[in-house]
Amino acid sequence: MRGFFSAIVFAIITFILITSVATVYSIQGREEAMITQLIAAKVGQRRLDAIDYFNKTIVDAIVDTVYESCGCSGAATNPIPYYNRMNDYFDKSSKALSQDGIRVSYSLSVNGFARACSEPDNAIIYYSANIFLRGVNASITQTQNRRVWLKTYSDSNKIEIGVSDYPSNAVFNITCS
Amino acid sequence: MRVKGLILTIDGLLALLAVSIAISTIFIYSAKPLEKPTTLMELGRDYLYLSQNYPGIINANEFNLLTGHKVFQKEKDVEDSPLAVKSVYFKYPSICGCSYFPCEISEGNCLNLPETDESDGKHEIMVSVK
Repeated sequence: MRGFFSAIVFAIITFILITSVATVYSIQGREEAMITQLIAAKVGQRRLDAIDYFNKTIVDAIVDTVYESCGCSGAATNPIPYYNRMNDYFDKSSKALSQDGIRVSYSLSVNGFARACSEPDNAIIYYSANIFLRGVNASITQTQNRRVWLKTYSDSNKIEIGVSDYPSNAVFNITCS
Repeated sequence: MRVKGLILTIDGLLALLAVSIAISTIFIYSAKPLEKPTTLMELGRDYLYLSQNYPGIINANEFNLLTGHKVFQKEKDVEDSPLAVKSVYFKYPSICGCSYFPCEISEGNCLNLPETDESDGKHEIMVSVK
């Protein structure tokens, strides 16, 4: 009889021990899962922001570069020294987005700037950017074709710089001093 | 003696079992739901998105009415909350302050420099369940 109960006691002790250990690991697992979910949500949100942020960055950079190269002064430079300027803008955006432990980086290629002054009314700038978020397999490739135009008016001291798809056309009427 | 020893052993085990169940129950029910922090974070980002892109469309009181949660500008304001998370939303500043197009602007710094630096464009808010 005692031997029989000893076996039951041993089984119960084993069961309790396993249950206790499993409970502890389960709680730890829940906490880890919660943290993982929080990081995933953070990265997901940051990705949406990064796409929008970089899209705005490109418009800012294009408008400023076309203005400086072909704008009021009329001093067309061929090719337009756009690359360093574009990278400067994108570097700033990357740093702005890379906070709270999330790192955002990019690779950029732009085509068509060389003709932006010589063919101002139909210049087309092709913009391709890969946006990377900190090692989470969340690389994004954003390929967009933007039409950029510059209009000058002989009877006015104004110029017009436009960028398509901002999401709608972004038109800046600039008064030259 | 044998019977008494057996009874004591069983009593001890029962007590241990009861304590184990009690502790496990406390741990399990005290663990926060998995969805809650991410939900708060997403609600906070939605709030920031709306308030930054459509000024005046929502305020903290309306957020509270809609969601049952509260938003605070600073971390120290939610110190007594059982659960609070920080939401962040990034918005590129308007180019030359243009919120609509066509936009009339004059020559100036806005056409020579990026509209943002490392700190511009970042909007934060704390969301709490309390």
